[in-house]
Amino acid sequence: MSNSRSVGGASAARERINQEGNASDPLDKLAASTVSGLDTLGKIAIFGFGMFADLPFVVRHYFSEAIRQAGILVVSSSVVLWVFTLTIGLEAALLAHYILGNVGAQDYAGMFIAFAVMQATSASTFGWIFAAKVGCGYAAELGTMRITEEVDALRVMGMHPRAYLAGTRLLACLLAVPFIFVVTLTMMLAGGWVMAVQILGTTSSGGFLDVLWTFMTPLDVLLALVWSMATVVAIVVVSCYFGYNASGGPVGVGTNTARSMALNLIVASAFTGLFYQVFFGMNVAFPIAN
Amino acid sequence: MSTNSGFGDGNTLPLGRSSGTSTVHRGELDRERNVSVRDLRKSFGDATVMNGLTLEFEDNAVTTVLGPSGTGKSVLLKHIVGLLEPDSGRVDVFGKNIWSMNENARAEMRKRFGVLFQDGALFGSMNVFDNVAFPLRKHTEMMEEDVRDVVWNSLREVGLEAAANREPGALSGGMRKRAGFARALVMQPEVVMFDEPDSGLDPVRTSLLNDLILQVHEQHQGTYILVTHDIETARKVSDYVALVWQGTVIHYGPTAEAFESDDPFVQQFLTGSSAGPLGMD
Repeated sequence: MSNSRSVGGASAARERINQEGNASDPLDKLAASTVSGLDTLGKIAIFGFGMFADLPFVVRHYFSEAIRQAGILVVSSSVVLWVFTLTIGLEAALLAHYILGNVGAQDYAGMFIAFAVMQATSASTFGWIFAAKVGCGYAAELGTMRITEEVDALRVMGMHPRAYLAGTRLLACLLAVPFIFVVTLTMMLAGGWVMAVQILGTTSSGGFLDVLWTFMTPLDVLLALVWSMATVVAIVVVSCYFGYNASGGPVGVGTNTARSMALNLIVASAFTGLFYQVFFGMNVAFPIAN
Repeated sequence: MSTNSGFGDGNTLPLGRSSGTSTVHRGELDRERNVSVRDLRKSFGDATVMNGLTLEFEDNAVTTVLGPSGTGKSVLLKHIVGLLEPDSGRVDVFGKNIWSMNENARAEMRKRFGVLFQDGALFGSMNVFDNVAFPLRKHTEMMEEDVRDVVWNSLREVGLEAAANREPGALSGGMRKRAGFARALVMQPEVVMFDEPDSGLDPVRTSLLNDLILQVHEQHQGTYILVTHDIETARKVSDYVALVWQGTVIHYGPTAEAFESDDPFVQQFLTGSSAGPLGMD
């Protein structure tokens, strides 16, 4: 099958290293696994470009399936995301209460929420949970479809499996994630407000919101949304790649699901480092990059 | 071991189905077939699976591809429908080499095929009714009311009306195959392929499924290609038998001719004897 063939010369290079290298030499092993890793990344990139190239076709032919996938995403995954992030908001306010209270600055609990929750935590936590809940689900679902020949069945029915399976999921995420993320952010902030104002009485509601909006702007929300969307796109591409190319029966699906999870967590963490510096590093209210 | 061109030496050829003794005239065999493969070669790593396989499938007949495990029967089916690209050789479907087409043209070509996979390959996220309706909803402009009529007819044909609302996971192996069969037929394909329709079924259900294949073929006609190990299935449903071993066709011809063959390999395989050229390796 064409999609199972080696891409470019990376596989050949890996084979050459395997053949020529001494298997017990750690450097050769490192070189072989590096080449193998780069090979996989290249294939994921090609697969991802293909998914984006499929989007116009998906909109024309499989839009109803994309809407169905978006519905599944909202119904089955958003509650998990919202509950988890509500908890983070509650915990952040709890920390603010005790840390700031020790120095008599509890009125600034809103600042703690603005920086620790909105900027530092919202998109990164969203990415990690999305990788665990949605990404693993996609990898396992597509992998199972692959080994039970459902992907082949789609193809012999004249469908375009990559567009139908991966492209529709990508479009579903592009449609649904902005809504899910904004509600997620609201849940985080609400968690902070409930803990700081209603439960612990750290500060008044007006004081909390005044400080919160002093250190947080609508632009911050937009930037966090861009950050979370970029993370989600990467997660969907990685998950769909590993699921769509699963082989080797149930063990192969399990292995690919685990690999997609590991890579997605790395991607979400790397994006956190990158986007936090790019978007909020030069924030005049809190210039962490200076 | 002899290689048989498969078309006999006389002007008429007896067909092997137990149900009848119809004949195909020699002149009809000279035209271009719906499905043919020529000098097909395919390897996976060091393992050569297709080794110059050439075969022309008879139109409007049931051809069974028999052979020991691992000889490339299922790989042959995947080549015919374009799921696998050969290392060399060509696959002609409806007069065109499928690997000279672009992917969209291949997708269009595949709409003229119906394939029953080993385990039915039903979509786990849909019930039986929606599985059967899926090709109609995706590839036709039919109104939902008409889709329902066609699907109910298909389900009635395979005896699955009562299971229409069940999920694939709640079906027995035989029911999954019948549902897959209904889905494969719903677009009224010109070529229908079966990948081991008898696998995992007891002898009675295998026999019932074979009856169903014969009944549906008589009703709809078309080029049917079965891959199986089961000799009784081949004897019962086939007009033609192709015996594949080590990636090549070692016998092709009408069913009766295959079962009367004095070729030691053909004899051994069709009688299931342990004595003969075919060993465990």
